[in-house]
Order: sequence, then C-alpha cells, then structure tokens
Amino acid sequence: MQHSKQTIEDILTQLSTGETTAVELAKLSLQAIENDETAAFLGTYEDVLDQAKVADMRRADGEKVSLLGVPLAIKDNILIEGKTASAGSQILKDYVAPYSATAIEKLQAAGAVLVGRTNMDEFAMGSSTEHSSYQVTKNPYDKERVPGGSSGGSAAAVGGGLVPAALGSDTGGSVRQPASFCGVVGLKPTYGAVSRHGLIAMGSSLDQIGPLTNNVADAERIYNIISGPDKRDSTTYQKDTYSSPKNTPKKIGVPRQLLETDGLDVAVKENFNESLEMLKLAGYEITDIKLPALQEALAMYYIIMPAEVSSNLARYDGVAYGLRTDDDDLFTQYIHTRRDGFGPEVKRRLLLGTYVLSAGYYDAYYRTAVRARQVLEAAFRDVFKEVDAIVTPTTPAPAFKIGDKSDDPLEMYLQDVFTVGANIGGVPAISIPSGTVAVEANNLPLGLQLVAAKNHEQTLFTIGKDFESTER
Amino acid sequence: MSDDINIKKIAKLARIEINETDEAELATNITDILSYVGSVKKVADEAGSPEAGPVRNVLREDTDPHEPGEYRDALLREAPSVDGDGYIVVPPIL
Repeated sequence: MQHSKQTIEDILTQLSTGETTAVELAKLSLQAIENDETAAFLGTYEDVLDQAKVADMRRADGEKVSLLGVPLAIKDNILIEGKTASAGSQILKDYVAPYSATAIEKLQAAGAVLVGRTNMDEFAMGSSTEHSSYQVTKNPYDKERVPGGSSGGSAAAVGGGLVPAALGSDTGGSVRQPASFCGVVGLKPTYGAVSRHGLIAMGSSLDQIGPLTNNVADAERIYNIISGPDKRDSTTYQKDTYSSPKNTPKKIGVPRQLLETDGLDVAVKENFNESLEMLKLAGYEITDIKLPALQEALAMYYIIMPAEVSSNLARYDGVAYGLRTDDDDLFTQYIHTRRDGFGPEVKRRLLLGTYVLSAGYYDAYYRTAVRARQVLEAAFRDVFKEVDAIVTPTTPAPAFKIGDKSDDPLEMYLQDVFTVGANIGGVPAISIPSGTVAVEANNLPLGLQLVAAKNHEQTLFTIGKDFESTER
Repeated sequence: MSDDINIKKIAKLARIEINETDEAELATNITDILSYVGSVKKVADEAGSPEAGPVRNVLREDTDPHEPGEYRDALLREAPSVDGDGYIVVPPIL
C-alpha cells in the first residue's frame, strides 16, 4: 500500500495553520515505517517523538526555520551523533557515530525531525540495494523489483510516502537512479556544494550528499539548507569560486551519441522524446550536442572509483572501531576482519582498486583515467558555453527485477551510464519523474536527467519546475 | 595486460583474505571490467598538462590544540578492545 505523498510545502502549511503537529506527523511516519512492506528502513531513532516535541515547542515560541517539524529519513552512511550508522555493512554493524555530519547539523538547525536510517548497498556500492548486508529493499511500485541504489532505502521511503523527503549520497548515480526508479526527484549537487564531513567515504573525489523529494521545490529547499562552505571539508567551495547563472535558461542540449547505447529500452526512448516535446512546449530550445568524452565516463568511473575505494576502506582494519576478529597476530586479524566484514561487491571493488593502483599498472589505468577525466571536465566547460543544460534519460530502463542483475557486475554497472558523467565532471544533476511505463501488471516510473555547469543548480531547479508544470 | 590477474597477490596488498572458491570468479570479473575500462586511453591522449582547481584549503592552521583527552572517551567507546589506561589493545605485531 502506498501512503499519501505530501510535499514539504504542504506539510509546512498544515503545521502553520495548526491542522497538524510535528508530533502527529512523526507518529504517522513511524506507523507507516512499521507497516512498510518495502523494507526501506534499517531502523528508526529512539528519540523521534522527543525531536518532534522540541519542534512543536520551537514553533509555539514563534521560531521560523524552513523545515520545522518536517520528518526526514537519512541514508545509513551519514553520521548523527549517538546514533548507529552502518553504511549497510557488517563491518560497521554496531558503530555509533561520535559526531554529526555537517549536513545533519544544518538540517537539525532548520528544525527537521530525523526519523530513521535507510537501507543502502554496502558502502554505497551498487545500483539496486541488493548489496546491503542486512535486507533487500523493494520498489514501492512493484514489490518484485528493486528500488535502485545505492540510496534505494531513501528512494523507497519517499516514493512509498513514508517520509516527505530523505538524504542520500551520490557517487555515480546513487541518488538519481533510485529516484528515477521510485518516481521521486533526486539531486546530485555540484562537487563541493555540500560538505562531505560526516559522510562515510566511498570515492572522495566523486561523493556528494543530495536530497530525494516529491518535487523540485522541495529538493531546492533542502539543497539551500545543506549546501555552503565548511571549514571541516576543504573540497567545499566558496560563494565566489564558480560563476552563478546570469540569465534564465533557454537552450538545452541532447548528447545524441550517448543515447545510441545498446541497452536503451524502447519505452525509455519514447518517454524521453515526449519529455523533449514538453520542454519545447515550455519554451526551451532543444539542440543536439557532441560530447564524445561523456561516452567514456563510465570507463573512467570504474577505474577512479575503485582506486579511491581501496584507499578509503583501508581504515576498516578492526583496530580502532568496527568489527574485529579474534586472531593471534595483527596481520591475520586485518585480513580476517576484512574477509568477514565486507560483502562480495565491496571485495570486488577493493581488489579492482588495489590492482589499478599497484606498481606496473598505475600508469596504464589510474593515471590514464585521471587524464581522461581532465578531458571530460574541459568538454563540460565548453559545452556549457553553448547550452544551459544537458538532458538525458536518468536510466537506460525502468526498475529491474530483484535478482536479475546480481550475478553480473558489469551489467549492474551499466545502470550508471547516463549518471556517472556528472560525478566525473563534478557538475550538478537532477532526476525528475517523467511519467510511467506499463511493464507486466504495473506502471513503473521513469526519470529525466538534467545536468548543468558547476554551481548552476538554479538552472536545474528552473527547468525542472517548468517541466513539472507542463501538462503531459 | 590483464590476463595474469593474481588474486592472491592483490588480496595480500589489499589486506583481505579471499576464499579459494571465490578466486576464479573474481579474476574473471576483474578481467572483464578491466577490458571494459581500457577505452579511457582514447580520451586520455587529448589531455593537456594538469592544472590545479579553483578550490583552496580551508582547514584551520595546526595551532591552538584542544585539551588533551577531550574527545578520547567518545572515540574509545567504539574501539573493540581498550585497557584501563585508555589504550587500544591489539594482538602482538612482531
């Protein structure tokens, strides 16, 4: 069963008129999570009602902050002081965060009520949430299908109406792809727009925290709260580091060659062409662009990401925190802790990353991928002199069945073919619901992806809202 | 180049034990992935010399340290094994 989906704006209106209270909303959300058939959550926090009471008191005192009393879900790889954060992994099964992520501190200051932690592929490695070491999350539109991943729990939670919004993280598409599969909006901000302090690291040059919401305005609202420079993350940028959009967007580019991808579903292609017509109706000029380097983004990604994974996950050695096996010497303890604590996909990427960084192969793989990345970054800079945004489908096909791709890693990786470019290029991208396609007995959601220049999130919001309000 | 994947050797570098039954499959997976990613070469040849990005360090200078022990208890709470003096206990290294 799907619960009623409400936007943050609706909820805030009801709160301000006294039609409901934060406590009432929190109770409804907890109840919905209790009855949830999609297994979106790994757990709810024990102090939810206390948080909601505080929010109601703040409102009674006349405080006006932009999320006061709004229930939110948090991906299991974002730290909240005193609460479990396992990144979907056995190696962090009982890990309790000693500090909060900057994004969390900002949400708390804005009055959000954090209800629980959502399921994810282990350490955010996957496109289906099947790689969680705890449970398989189901798609709210079809329980036999995946919600996408790695932020599959957050997408199912919003898509299933359990919470009005959630945080996810996106390293190669992990917010946008599940958003597309679950019929919600998902934003991957510019690299450096949102602090990564307190986000459990996967690929540090690619990771960004982003919101999943029921409409573009809500994504914008959360983005405005969580973004901004942070003294605890040197990769966050200042207000004047990049230009801001000067004019309202007019011209949108289509990278035609990328759409010739073999795996592109016919229904997705039709839906995409309809979306282009809608953008034209909304007054945008659609033009074909050439971006050959974008076609190699997935190849760059599967060198750079595992290389960073192998470095970042070196810290899970059983010494200072997390799982530790009982062994007689330290080396054996390291290799056994990691053998028992990591699942198969994490092991695969650790080994791949170690290989591409190892002596004799570093130049051929890692250094070559970094140079290719430079070429793509330059290509994005050039193309955004010609067009305000780039548009593609978010995914090559609608949600697939649970178990369909879990045996073939390369097949799973191809899920990211349209989304990884934005992570490699460090540019912002958003997925917006673009209608549904009938598959077997169900209507499955599809998503439209818009990509803009660095720090041009406003362009995405403007086009996104126009797209939402154009009659299909 | 990637036809000689030695999983045992990489696993040792990665500080992880891989079950022998999984070695062959992992070697196949990694070989497949490496053959897919090989195409980055085409693009890399167009790269100019690397440039530093516009983002600058914002971390504080390493001065005015906090009080010793201020965060110790909170951090040690997560350690698998701790002795009475606040040290993390590990098995013998040598």
